[in-house]
Amino acid sequence: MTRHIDSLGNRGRAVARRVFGDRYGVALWLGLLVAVSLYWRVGIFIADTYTTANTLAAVADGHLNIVETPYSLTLGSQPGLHHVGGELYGRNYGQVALAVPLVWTFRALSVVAAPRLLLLGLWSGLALAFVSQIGTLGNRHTGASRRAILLGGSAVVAALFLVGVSSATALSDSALALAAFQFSTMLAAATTGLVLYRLVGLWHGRPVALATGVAVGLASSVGFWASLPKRHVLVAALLLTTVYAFARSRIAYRDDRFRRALAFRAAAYLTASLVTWTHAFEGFFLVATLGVVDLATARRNALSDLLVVGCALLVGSLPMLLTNYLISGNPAKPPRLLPRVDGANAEFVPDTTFSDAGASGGSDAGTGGSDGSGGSGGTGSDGSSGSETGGDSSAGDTGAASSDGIGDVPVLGSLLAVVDRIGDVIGPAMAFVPAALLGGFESLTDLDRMSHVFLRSGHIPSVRYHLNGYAIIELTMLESVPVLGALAAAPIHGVRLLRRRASDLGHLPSQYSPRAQTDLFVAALAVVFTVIYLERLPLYSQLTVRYLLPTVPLLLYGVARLPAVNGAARDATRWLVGGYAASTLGGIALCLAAVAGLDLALGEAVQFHALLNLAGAAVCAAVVVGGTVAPDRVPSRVVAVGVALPAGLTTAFVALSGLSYFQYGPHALDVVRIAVEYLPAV
Amino acid sequence: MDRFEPQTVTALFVLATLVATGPLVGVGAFEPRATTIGDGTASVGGVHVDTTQFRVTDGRFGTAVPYLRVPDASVTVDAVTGRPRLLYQISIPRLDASMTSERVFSTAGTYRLAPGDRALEPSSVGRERYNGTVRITVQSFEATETVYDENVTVAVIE
Repeated sequence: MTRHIDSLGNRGRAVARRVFGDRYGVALWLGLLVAVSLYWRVGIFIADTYTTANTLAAVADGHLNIVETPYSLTLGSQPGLHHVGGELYGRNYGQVALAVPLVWTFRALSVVAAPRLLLLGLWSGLALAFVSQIGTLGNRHTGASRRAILLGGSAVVAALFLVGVSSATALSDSALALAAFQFSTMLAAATTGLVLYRLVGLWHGRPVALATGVAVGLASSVGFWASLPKRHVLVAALLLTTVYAFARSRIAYRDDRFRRALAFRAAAYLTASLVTWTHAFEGFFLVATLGVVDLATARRNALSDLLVVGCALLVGSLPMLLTNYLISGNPAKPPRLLPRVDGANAEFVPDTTFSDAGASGGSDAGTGGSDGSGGSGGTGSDGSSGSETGGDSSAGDTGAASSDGIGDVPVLGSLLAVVDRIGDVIGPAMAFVPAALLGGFESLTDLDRMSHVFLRSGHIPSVRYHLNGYAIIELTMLESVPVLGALAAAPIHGVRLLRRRASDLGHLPSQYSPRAQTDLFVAALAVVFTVIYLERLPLYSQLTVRYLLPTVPLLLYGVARLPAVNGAARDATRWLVGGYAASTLGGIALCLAAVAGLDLALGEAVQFHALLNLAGAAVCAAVVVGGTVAPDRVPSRVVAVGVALPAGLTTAFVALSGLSYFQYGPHALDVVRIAVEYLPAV
Repeated sequence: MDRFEPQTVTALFVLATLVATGPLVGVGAFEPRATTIGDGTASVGGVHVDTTQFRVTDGRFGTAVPYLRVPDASVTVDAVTGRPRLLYQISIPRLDASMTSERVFSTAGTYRLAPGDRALEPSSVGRERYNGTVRITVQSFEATETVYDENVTVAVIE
């Protein structure tokens, strides 16, 4: 019996090793979850979440269409609601599917524990698991007694737990699905940190890798969106996982381990195509970029390899195809392409304006919704209702195909009809892809506009601020992730590399080192995932240019790859850690003093952070460029502090935004609620 | 590994507490505090609003929109029964601006109500001053009592 348990334990450890890499990975993942939970508010931050949260509630109840709307009073306040044949559907079903098991778990646990204490207990459990990892690691690095760390850490968690219990405020059962949705996004954020840690750890030492993992979770816009259930963090996590699998496959090719290489290659295609379930077009661009770079850099592209890769692609796309088919009867038509209930939207999809999506859309949807909630018995037949009564072109096609005489063979007939319907979408989609890319590249020439996307925001002329009550809170990339200032040194480093490795250029990409191949892939993805959105930016309700969020981990990977940065993180780790802690605390103190002393309003506070972050970015750019141009004259501890400065300022912004500035719901943890009452408010 | 590490003991304690206070076992001793308005009454001893602090000033740090800035209200509650709420309402009709701050309370004490500042459409501010009303009420499902009702002047400061 004991032996059986031991072998189970060993197997568990082996799986954990495979997922987390080592104890540091576990500690990083748990630490990020514990940290982002601190500024978790149970509530809806952006109106689109009403739709996805209602979709989640629907899917958790076992159907794709929305019949009840627990998260809003009226249908009008749900941008992103789509309708087919009188049924209402949401979107981002992949993101929703990830959260469904969590909803079930939360609901099941709420039978034995009060919802509020459930969240407190969840946090306490994570914190205790973190403490138990830190016990061993702290002992290894500081010499402190492991027992003392465990006792101290557990005492702190126990104290916070008791305060939480004694001050618990009521949380309704209906908030649990939303809380689960938020927690699923937090898992994605922590996983992004973990995967970046492992990816950077392939080429650099542990301090560099850990610092990058922490940076993406707490010192970037990923941290800002960690508990806000938008798709971007999940897409970022899947995209980064694709890169990691790609890197591992290139390493395996170098080591002549072809089977292993193929397995990782398939994994890359699988994670890439899973993105289509959440956002079909982001998924498409990810798969396409992967396809190009992968085929060019793989050591072997035999037919059998391509077959395996194709299968992975199919398996990864299957959930999306199936969901689409059940909703609209057309596997290639994702919800975002269906007629919208609410016309006004800046959606990133091909323009396939169907005739019935126009004027009558709004009123149709209203009646559709009330019909649906009236008859809750027919919820199992989502798929058929979509293709039977759909007033759009897909229904018409079904009729056309069967009258062509192919209808004699029912299966073949309906299959052909499906293929025909797919064709309807493929056409506009194929026109959309080059248009998005060209439009994006064209936007690059509009320097004024680009400066409002990448450099300084302030009051951006083209943004419709009136939609958000004139809150001037739409930051640029550099303002939201100022540590990216380090990338100012990238061109210098790049030119140097080219000069030094000019001879390598004669080789085929498949002969490059795995590291160079991965760098190439990351660069390609960063360019593609930036360019495709440029035409739409700047835009309202972006806050941190969230459309570009998936590029943030990639760009941080780029920062970590700069020799000046990774050298400093390796040689002056203590300065990096100390500088980050000082900058975080200093940033929080300074900004709170400004909020209180200058009586800042929300927009002013956010812009104050933006200016502070830009100053940090400038310092960071200067020291990293200095460290790149003249490594002998700029000591690594200076570079370390220069990089830590903007990182800490970002953490200050992320923390204060979540704790104090944006009040869209009650804090998940009552301990935090009590502490925050003492902070000056905007 | 030692089975009774501090974190394991704490985790077991957390679990036991969750179950003991939960709906299944729930001995009734534990009830999370309600945060929504209920029945009740309150006797208010004093209200303070600095009426000179209603202003419209330009946004700083590049925001480039005017802000309607209003003072916090401070309300001293001498006695309270049940769970009423304090409601601080500001209305400036010509600016099309109404702001509120509310707070549910169940103990006596001094409460601060902070509606924050409100950004305005840049072209909407054309006069030198605007008239507005400020009202503070104690509300519950039983009764509504106005404890403060004043007219204020909002000065536009360039």
